[in-house]
Amino acid sequence: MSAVALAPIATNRAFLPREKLDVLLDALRDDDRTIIGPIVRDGAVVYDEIRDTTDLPIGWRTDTAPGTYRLEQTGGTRAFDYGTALSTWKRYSHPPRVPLTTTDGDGLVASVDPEVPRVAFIGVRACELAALGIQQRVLGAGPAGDADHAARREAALVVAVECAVATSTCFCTSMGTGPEIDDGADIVLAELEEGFTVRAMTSAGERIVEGLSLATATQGHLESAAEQVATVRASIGYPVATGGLAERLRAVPDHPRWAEIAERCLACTNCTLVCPTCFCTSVAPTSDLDGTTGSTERVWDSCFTVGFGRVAGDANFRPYVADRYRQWLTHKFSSWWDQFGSSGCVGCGRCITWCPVGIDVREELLAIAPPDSPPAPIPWPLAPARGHAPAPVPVVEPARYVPVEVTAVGRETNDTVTLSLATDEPALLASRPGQFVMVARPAQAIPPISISRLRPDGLELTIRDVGPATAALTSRKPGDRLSLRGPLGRAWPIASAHGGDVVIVAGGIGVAPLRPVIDEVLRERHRFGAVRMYIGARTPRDRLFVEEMAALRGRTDVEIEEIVDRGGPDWLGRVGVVTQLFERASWNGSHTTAFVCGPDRMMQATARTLAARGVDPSRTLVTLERNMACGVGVCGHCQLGPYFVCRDGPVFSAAELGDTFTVDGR
Amino acid sequence: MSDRSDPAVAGLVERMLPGVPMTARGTLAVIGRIECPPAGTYVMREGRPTRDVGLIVDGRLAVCDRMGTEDVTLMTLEPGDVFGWSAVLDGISTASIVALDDARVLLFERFRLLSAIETDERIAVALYRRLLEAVASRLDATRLLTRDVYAAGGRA
Repeated sequence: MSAVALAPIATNRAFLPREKLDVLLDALRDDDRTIIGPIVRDGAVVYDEIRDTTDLPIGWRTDTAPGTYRLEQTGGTRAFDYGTALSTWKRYSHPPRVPLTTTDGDGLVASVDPEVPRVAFIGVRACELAALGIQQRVLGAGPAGDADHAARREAALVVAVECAVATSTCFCTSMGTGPEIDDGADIVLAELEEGFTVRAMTSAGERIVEGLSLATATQGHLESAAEQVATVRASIGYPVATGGLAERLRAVPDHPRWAEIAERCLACTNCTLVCPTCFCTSVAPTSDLDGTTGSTERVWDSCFTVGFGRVAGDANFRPYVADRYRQWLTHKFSSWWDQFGSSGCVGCGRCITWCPVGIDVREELLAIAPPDSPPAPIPWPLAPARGHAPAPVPVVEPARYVPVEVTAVGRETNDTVTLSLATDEPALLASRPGQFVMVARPAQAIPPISISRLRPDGLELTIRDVGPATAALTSRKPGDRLSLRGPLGRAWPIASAHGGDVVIVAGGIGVAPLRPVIDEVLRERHRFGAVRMYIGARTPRDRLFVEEMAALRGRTDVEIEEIVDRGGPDWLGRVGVVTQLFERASWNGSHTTAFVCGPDRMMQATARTLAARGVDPSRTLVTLERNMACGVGVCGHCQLGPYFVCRDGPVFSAAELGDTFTVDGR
Repeated sequence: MSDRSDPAVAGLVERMLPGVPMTARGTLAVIGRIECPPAGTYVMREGRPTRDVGLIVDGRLAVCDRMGTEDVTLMTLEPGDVFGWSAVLDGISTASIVALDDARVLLFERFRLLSAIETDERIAVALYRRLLEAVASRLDATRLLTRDVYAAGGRA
């Protein structure tokens, strides 16, 4: 539906004789629109540009089953009896490739404004209308929304066609998305033998329909149309029991069926590519040969790819196919509700039809979460921690890169440097402890980097060289310029710790996002009780901010202890893991707020040890690392249960995370 | 060894094993002894018979493993930490224990401790719980270190 449409229009249905369908197409074209609709190509119905009605799949019907799609010519005259097409409208509303950045004249990375065509979609099904609506909620959510998608939907007029046939893989009835069309289109057609009933649903649709000078549909036309769609509903039935499904799925993260499906699943990504609501993307860099200029594109990606959950340093949060299938299915039917207020499935059945091994999502849901199975005993821990802002911090123009200058480079360890960056950009100068920025260099991937110090004239980033993109940053020199986007994410709720004790626990590079917390706590030392810091590193040579830590040890109002995993002949300090520093400490944690950052396993162990010391889980705050490709919650990479880590975090309380923090493969 | 308790040992038993009932503490005070290994002393050696279970009173000890020709520190132990639990199992030390500082330790001789455990289940309950906590803590630490070896993490 056009985003410029006004309130729904209540018009009587008109009748469009079959031979005048071209008149409708002409009217859409006269409205300066490229018409996208169903055509037959390569043995399937797909969506593409159509010139006239002869391009439509007249007389074609489809026979589908799990892993099977067959197109048959019936010799009939109907144009829209093909069931569902192979392709989906997201190809046009959320295209497979969208330019994101380019290199400007100064050799800096600059954002690309979207250019979108004015289009009309014809032949949109009820389930597909629901999918377009879901997509608008998904890509319009968060601090920014997706500007490209918003522009494309604004420029699209939707002509829907009610289904007159169903295929064996359809289950829109179960998902409450069809087959009747009540909303979401500008114009709705119902195809009869002799023509189409026509309803204008919006003012934009009414303008088109009025220009066609159509006769009013007869009672017979309307009854035939109603009977057709009722027959479709009856033929589909209700194959998926959706009542309580989200809760039942949450209860079974360890169901053996996940592993059984993984034995069959090829992780080919077909299901996500043909899904009309799957929205995950990655950022793909390209460059010239010398690497001085380049561009990035947003490209479709899939949570089934092995690299989807991979982060710098080659850690992978979903290494197994079973992890990835569980992620996909539980997101579609469970955590999607928490994130976007609906199911992520519209029941179009494409994932069933186009699965090369015929995995049927209806069958899997029945096996994993049957209607008589109990729901999860504990709901998602959605309540925000005390004092922790429940909504993401508003971001000023999050899609825009701004130039910053490297003013100093400090080498921390063999592979880690701290860049001091100068900027007068108000948004960057308003960054809060715990937030991060996307750091761009021409021809490189764009990594998220935590802010390691806030300064009046800029900020500091502490970066470990773990791959080409970070190597391109750690090799910068004073005077070089970078492009930054941000600040992004939720900050540490430091003020919530006022009046109580503070514990800071860091492992490895995790001390970097905690450094602004240390700065703020020390700057406002009078607001806090005891301040205790426990810092771990792999080896003495991997310790960060060594001089600053030494200076802290000289203070009488701060306790600081360090430990390394592997000592050496010159190391006289403690050896072991960071939790050993406080597992038998004498302090009581009942009035303590803990700020924790390090590898997930270290943070899980720390949260457990802190809980045993009396620290309330709502006051144990951690910052998570996930694959954050967009930073604003539209690429899907960093999803964790009901959250996008980039948008809803990266700072969470242990209470907010609940078991999403401890179940492997999420 | 005397069947009468040393007041200094009794005081340390009371301080360091507060969960043990009073009469059982008396038994432990009788079989316990205090030693003060200077820095650099091997309190136990990997692969050798070990005759004591110990508690650190003062100073630090290192748990070391022989890697090639060198002893590598796997973990450092602080006052209150338990060491030498092999003594109540097969009696062969799985790691070396080295004093990093001039230390003071409370030791319980293996056979006298096993005898006390068999005659007084309250000692068994208190001691084995303490040993189990120590073993669990070290296993947890080992698990974390192993994860670190196999899956490098941490935000860049």
